[in-house]
Amino acid sequence: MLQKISLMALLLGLSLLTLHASEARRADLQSTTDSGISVEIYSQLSPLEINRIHSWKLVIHDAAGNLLSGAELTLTGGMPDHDHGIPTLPQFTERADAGVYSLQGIRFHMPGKWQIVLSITNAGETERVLIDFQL
Amino acid sequence: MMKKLGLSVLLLGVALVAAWNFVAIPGSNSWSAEELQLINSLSIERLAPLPADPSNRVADLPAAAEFGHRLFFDTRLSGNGSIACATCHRPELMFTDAFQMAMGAAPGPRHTPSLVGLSHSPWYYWDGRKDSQWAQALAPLEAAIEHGIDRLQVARLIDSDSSYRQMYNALFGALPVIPATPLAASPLGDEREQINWNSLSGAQQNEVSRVFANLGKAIAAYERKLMPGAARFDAYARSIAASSELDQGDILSSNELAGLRLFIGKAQCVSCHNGPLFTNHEFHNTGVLSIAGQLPSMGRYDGIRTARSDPFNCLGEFSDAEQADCIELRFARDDNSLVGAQKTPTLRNVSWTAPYMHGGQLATLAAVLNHYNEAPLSMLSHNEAKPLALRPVERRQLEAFIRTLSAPLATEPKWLAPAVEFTQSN
Repeated sequence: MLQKISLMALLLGLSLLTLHASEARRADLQSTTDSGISVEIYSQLSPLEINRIHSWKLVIHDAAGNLLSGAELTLTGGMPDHDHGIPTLPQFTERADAGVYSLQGIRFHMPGKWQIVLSITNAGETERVLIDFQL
Repeated sequence: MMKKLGLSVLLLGVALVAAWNFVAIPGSNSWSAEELQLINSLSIERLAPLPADPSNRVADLPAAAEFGHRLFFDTRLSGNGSIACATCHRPELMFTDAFQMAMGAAPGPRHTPSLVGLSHSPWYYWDGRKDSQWAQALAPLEAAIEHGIDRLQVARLIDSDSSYRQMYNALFGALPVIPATPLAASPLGDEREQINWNSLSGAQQNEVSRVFANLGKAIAAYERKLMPGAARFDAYARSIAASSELDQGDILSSNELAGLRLFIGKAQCVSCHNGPLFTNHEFHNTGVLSIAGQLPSMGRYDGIRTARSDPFNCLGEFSDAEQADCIELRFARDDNSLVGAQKTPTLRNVSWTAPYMHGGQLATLAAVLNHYNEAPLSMLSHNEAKPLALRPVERRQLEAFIRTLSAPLATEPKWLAPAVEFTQSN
C-alpha cells in the first residue's frame, strides 16, 4: 500500500515536472492583436519543419492578461510570395480548455516565407492577427 | 569602311549569342548560411526514419516483407499469367519501366512512377487517390488494363499455393474458406464479375476483400524496403557540413556546383523538390501539356475525392488505424487550387527514370528544364510556376547537378530480384 502511494506520488511529481517544463517552453510563434489579445503557438514539431503533418496548441490571453476561453478561432495562411495557401485544411478540433485551443492537421510544404492568419471571434468582435515566419 | 564595320557588328553579335548560350558567369566561391542550411536539408543523411503506417499492422514485420516480395514478382497475380507488379516497376530501372505510358495487360493512361522512397509519402498515384501504400497496391491487380485479375481469384491463388497459405496464416490468422465458385468476382470488375460478386453473401464478400487487403499490406511491407542510396551530392553535402567553402576537392564539378546554386536559388526547384527525397509529396499544377488523346486531367481535385470514398482508405473497415491516426485524410485540402495538380515526384535517381511527368510527356531532363524555364499557360486552371529566364548554359548546369542525385539503392540486393522459390516439398 505504502509502495503504491509512493509510486503515485512519484508519478504525480514527474507529471508536474513535465507540465512545468512545457509551460516554461518558449512559444514557437507569437503575436498580439491591435486590441491587445495575445496569441502563443506551441507546435508539436519544434522547431517547425516542412513536410510533416502535426498539431498546434494555441494559448490566448485577453488584453488584461487573463486566459481567454470560448473564443471562435479560424486559421488560414500561405506563402505570400508564391500565391498559394497551406496544403492541408487545419482545424480547431477540441473545445477550448481555459484559454488553450488545439489545432490539428497542419503541414507546410515549401521552404521560405510563410504567413498565417488567425481570426479570433470573442463576444461578437472579430480580430485578425498575421504571423510571419521563415521555414 | 562600311563593310568592315558591318563585319565587326556581325562578329560581335555572334560572340554575344555564343556567350549567352555557353559562357557561365562565375558565382560566389562560398555558400551563405541560408544556402548551407538548404543544402544540408537535402542530404540523405537527414532522411527521417520511415514513418509508421498505423493502417497496416504488418508494415514493418520481416515476414510480411518476405511474403510481399514473393507476391511482387509473381505473374500468377494476373488474368493472362504474365503481369506482376515488377513488370512495370522494374528493379533495374529504379522500379519504373522506361515507357511513356504503363504497359500492363493493355496500354495504360499514366506513366509508371518510381517506388523508391515512396513509403515516405502520405499519398499515392499522380493524383493522390490512395492514402496508403497497401491500398495503392490493390488497385492495379483489379484494373483490366494492368493485372486484369479480381480479388476472388487472387484469394484462391493464396489458398491453392501451400507456401503462400502458410505465410498468410502466420501473418493474418487462418485464411477463411474461399468460395469455389464463381470463377471471378469483384465489385470493381466488368458486368459479369460484378454480378458474380453480388451472388456472394455479405460475409463472403467481406472475407474475400479482407484477404485482398491483407495481400496489399504484405506488398506494402516489401515496398517499404526500397530506399535510395547516398549519391555524389550527398557526399558533397557531408563535406561542406564542416566548412562553407564551395570547392571540396573534386566531389562536384564547377558546373554541378553552379547547378546546385541554381537549384536552391534562381530556378526555385527546391520550392517543391525539397527534403532528402527532393519532393514535398504535394500536388502542383505546373502547366504540363495534357496527355495526347485525353482530356486535361483534374488531378488531385478528383484524387482526394476518390481517396475519401475508397473502402480501403485509412478510415475504412479494412484499415488497422484508429480514426485519430488518419490525419492526412481527415485534414486534406480539396478546393479549386488542386485542379490539374499532380504529385511532385522524387528527383533521386531521376536521370535513370526517363521519360518524365504523369503522362511521360517529356522525354529528357533537358526537355523538363525547358518546360519549367518557359512555364507555359496551363490548359486547366493555372500554372503555379513562373518563367525562370534561365540561359541555356544555366539549364545545362542544372541538369548536371540533377545527375549527381543518382546512386544504387540502399536496399539489400536480395529484395531487388525475385525471391528464391521454395521447393514444394517444403
